[in-house]
Amino acid sequence: MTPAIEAEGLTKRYGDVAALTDVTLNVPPGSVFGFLGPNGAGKTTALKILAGLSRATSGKAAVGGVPVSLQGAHRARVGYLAQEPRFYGWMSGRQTLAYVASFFPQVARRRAIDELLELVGLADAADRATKTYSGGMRQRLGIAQALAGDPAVVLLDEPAAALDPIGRRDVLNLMQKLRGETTVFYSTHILDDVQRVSDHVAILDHGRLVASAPTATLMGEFRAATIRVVLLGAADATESGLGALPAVAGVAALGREGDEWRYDVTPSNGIPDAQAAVMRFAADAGLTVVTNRQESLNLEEVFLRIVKKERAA
Amino acid sequence: MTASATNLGLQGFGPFMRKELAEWWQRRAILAVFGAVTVLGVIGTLATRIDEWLSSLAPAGAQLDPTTNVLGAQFDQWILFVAIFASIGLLIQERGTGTLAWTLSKPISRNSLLLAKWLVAVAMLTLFGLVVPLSVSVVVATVFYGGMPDLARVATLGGVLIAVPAFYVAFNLALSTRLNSQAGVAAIGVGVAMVPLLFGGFLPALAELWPTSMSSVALAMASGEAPHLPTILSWAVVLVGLGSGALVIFRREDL
Repeated sequence: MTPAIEAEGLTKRYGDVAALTDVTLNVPPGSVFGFLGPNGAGKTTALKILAGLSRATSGKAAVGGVPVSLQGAHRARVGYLAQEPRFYGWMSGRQTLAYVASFFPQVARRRAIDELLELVGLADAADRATKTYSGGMRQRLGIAQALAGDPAVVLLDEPAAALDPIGRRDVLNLMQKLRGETTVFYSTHILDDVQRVSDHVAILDHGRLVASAPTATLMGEFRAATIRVVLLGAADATESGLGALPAVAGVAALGREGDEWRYDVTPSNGIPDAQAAVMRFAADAGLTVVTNRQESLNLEEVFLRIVKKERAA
Repeated sequence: MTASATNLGLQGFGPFMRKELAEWWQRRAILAVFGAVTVLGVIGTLATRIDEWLSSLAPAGAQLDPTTNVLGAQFDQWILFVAIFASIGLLIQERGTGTLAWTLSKPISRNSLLLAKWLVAVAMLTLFGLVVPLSVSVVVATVFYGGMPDLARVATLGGVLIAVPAFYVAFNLALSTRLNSQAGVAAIGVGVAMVPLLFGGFLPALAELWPTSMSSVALAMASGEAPHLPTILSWAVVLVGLGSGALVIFRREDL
């Protein structure tokens, strides 16, 4: 199957400054693909190249198999939302969507526009001039106009960054609804959002792609090197008992909550050996094991580890 | 958009041209163009009568011919200045507000965008800077000079004067692909208009071939002279050059 977006060796330089370096990426059709990176990582540059607004210094890209260019034949398949969406202030929201839809004559305009206005919660403000819209309303209109051409690929640059918590939740829900219907490729630095809605994630740092994988795979690759142990009926001496086990390199007591005593155990050989040793220790000491598992990391920790590792390299 | 238009690199031309037309109607600039040229044109047309009223008798050698007074109302000058100032922001404003990048994220070619901007601006300036003001002057001349001006000669003046907005809109669009300052574009535009005045005395060939000299050609043709082909040819070459240059630069611009 043709990838929704393909980029090969995409590089963008502004004089001596490299905004993007040799980015190669495949975005599966129908996916919600989070393009993650700190501010200044090159996310917006990459999206502008994909939208045909900026030229790559070298490398190439295609959307749905159509080569990306400034002349923009590929844009018939693309909906794009800029980081700070701007519209003609004299047009109403409805006129703005009609204007965008007129570039896509295959779309049944009238119906699509009303549906889109409902979808983004702007039906009541549809006939107001966009110059009267708040930042959040502009962002919603931006999402609606990106969908107006019934695109195969939607490119969203920080779609939720300017929104309040309710608006942000609505946008994330909308992105989830689009899964399978269209490909959503969006940039963000909000890691919670990616973890919530993305089935694929790519991480960009200093213009370089440092990771790209299905979200679950990426999260699975990065697990904590410690075991979280929670015991019932433990005592102050339990910490030293655990620390004396040959399979355990170190123990950190995390505190007590009611009858539950919590520890982070660092294995000396491997996780399974340490887990087995903890089980035997608890049985011998007459303790009840509530938890004895390897800690999984959240995306923020994974992101920080990847970026740290890459920068060290 | 038809397949042939797409093949010509004119994808998205129709929707964008409709937007441009709607936007010109929204602007007060078009009222200013209409108001300024009409008022100045009417005053120019009535100049002889005004002189007469002021001195209680017609000045010696005064022309009371309606056609002469319409042709002498300096429409060639007024259209030049309104064309410069009404088109300096066509591209720069859109770039500044971010709507240029937004529109170009849709299926529209950059050729279409520039061509639609040029075409609509020239059409609006022609309508509100030439056709309507000249029509008003014709009516005024008919009333105040006792006869209808020669419409064919007035139409010749208006028709050839379209070359002035056609040149200046192209010139400003071309400059705007490199410059991001409206004041800068206006200053260069006025400077270009001054060249024949400043250098025409000792470089007559330059003045003759200068594209803004089309206004003199328009007056000459309306007065019954033959078309001055070197100026017309020079104007056409410069116009094509400006258009091609603007397209080449604009098609490579990062937004």
